[in-house]
Amino acid sequence: MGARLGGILVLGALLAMALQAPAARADDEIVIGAALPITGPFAGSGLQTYQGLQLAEHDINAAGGINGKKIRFQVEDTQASNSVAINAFLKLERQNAPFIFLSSFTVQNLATEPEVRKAKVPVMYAGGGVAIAERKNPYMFRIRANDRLRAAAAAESVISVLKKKKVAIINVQDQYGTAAAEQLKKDLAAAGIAVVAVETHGIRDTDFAPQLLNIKNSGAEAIVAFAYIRDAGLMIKQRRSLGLTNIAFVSVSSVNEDSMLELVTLPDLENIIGVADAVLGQANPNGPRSVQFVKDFIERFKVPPDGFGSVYYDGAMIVAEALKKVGPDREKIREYLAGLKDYQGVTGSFSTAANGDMLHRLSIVEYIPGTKDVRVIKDVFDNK
Amino acid sequence: MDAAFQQLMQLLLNGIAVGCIYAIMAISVQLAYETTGVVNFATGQLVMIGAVVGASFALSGRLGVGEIYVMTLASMVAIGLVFAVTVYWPLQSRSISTVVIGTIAVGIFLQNIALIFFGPLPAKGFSPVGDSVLNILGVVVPAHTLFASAATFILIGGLYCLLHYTSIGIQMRAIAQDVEVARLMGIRTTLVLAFTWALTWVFAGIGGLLLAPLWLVDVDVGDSVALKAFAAAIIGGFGSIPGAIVGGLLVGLNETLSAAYISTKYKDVLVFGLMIAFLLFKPRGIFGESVNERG
Repeated sequence: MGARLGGILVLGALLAMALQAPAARADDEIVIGAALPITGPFAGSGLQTYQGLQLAEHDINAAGGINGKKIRFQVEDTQASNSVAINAFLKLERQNAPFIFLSSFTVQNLATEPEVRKAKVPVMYAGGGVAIAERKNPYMFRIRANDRLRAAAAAESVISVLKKKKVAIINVQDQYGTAAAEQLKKDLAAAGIAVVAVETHGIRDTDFAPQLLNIKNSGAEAIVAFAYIRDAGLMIKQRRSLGLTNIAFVSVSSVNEDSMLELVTLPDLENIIGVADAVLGQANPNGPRSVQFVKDFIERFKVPPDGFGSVYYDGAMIVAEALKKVGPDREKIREYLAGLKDYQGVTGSFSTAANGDMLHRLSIVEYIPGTKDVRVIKDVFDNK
Repeated sequence: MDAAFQQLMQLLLNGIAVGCIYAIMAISVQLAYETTGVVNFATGQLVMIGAVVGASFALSGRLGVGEIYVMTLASMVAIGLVFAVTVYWPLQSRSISTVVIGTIAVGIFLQNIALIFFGPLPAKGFSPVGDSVLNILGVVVPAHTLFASAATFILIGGLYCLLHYTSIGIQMRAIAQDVEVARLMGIRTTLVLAFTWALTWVFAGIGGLLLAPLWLVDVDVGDSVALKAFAAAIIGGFGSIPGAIVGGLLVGLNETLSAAYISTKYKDVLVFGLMIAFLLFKPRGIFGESVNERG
């Protein structure tokens, strides 16, 4: 009897979950979807993107909302799975969200792209893969620099900043890492720089000693790493443990992300420079706005924002402008975003290129001695 | 020292350190299997809980080195006993597959609980010997690597003595052979099984504490290493404590050496290929015993 009652209760709970209606939508609010990885191995950047949207929601509503209506960002978790990412997007699309944010992971963006095209809903995404823009989907807008520019900035770091002649590459074994490493090899070859070792690693690998020792034996003078936050942190720690701080290290993407910097100590950062998606605060071209953003972000979430948090904040503010001007109409929002020029956000200047790319600058940075703060050595731009 | 030889030494040290972690986890798997017949698929999450609880105590900044270890392991004992009372005993009369599915459910539950309280971001692990690095004849070794390897061998030695030279250990081995006969012989099987589950969790917790400074701490940290621990248990021989050690070291060395000398892309293929080869040609593993030899 007890088991039967338990079974009925479980079945009832499952039915209740299955039949649960989407979160109630008040008439006085506009709900924007966001399919982001807030759990799993991608959560490091996913959490920042989520927080960027949360802060934007607060700021937009505090400033009067969208023509009298409040804005709300409804988040669905994509985890680290393409199928979960697609389902998250479809769930938000079925709820008639006029706009949806996608994650910052190329593989998820690529998997979701056909559904975006079918649904004809405008989206912003932050995966850097060049392959996404090559699909020429007019509904997809990238709010982060693409990986071709990232590879170009990494090449520039080696060639004109470090002035090294023998380079090793270590990349995560996925679409992002593989494509970026290939592009970097081409850029370095064009400049006559020898790539003496190419090593790969899996997401969530634990031991990088084999790769780092192979690089040491290759005679490399510099290492360029395309790795996600946790893996980059672990690699940097093990580089020091193996006594390889004499080999310069270029960390692409996560160099100034707080969630990576939390994992390493100051001595681990010796002889490291990096390519940063955004340098926030006073060093940002939009200084005062960026300073205020950093202050508000820290006050609210107790951690500093990184490039993911800032671009999703900017993206949300751009969408809010679009909603104010053209209303919650998917096609009109798409047209507004396609024509965007020189929007000055907390990250930088956004202008939409023909391929949907909106941000066209990366910064090569170094650590200020004795701190984990960075300063800009050089900015690198693409030719939109 | 010749550079190639130096690299080999470095890799062997790394492989042994990694293998020790796998061995500790494999022993946790073996302990549960030997005494209860249950393959505990929550082992990865048990390790994660040890790492997360230890890191949380360390982050609080209020506890000393010894206190962090003692509090973490006490927490593991408590959670292990709760597991025994709420999952193992209610399900033990059901088929073994039901209990195994129960362990999977526990793993998912623990991961989500950890996510709520610890959050999704990784954190630095805590080491009693700090993050200093030693240079031995050109081979650089983090002090924690030596600590973890030494701790593993001491623990395994301690476990061997417990199982062979103490009353509770002999009772555990008797239960492993036949729980009903052990009960008829006057062994308080409920108490011994509770002790076994607590010990299983303690070993997993120690695995978590030892791996945290090497591989960082997050709620997914146990997932990938749990698969390697199962590979270690299968290669060494399911049900054999010495097998867990040898299996762990073989997996660790295979992973490190194949990544350096063959290909980083295929290192996991080689590890799990070895496991599949054992399943096909020597399914009892290196030290596996047949049932009538158990105990």
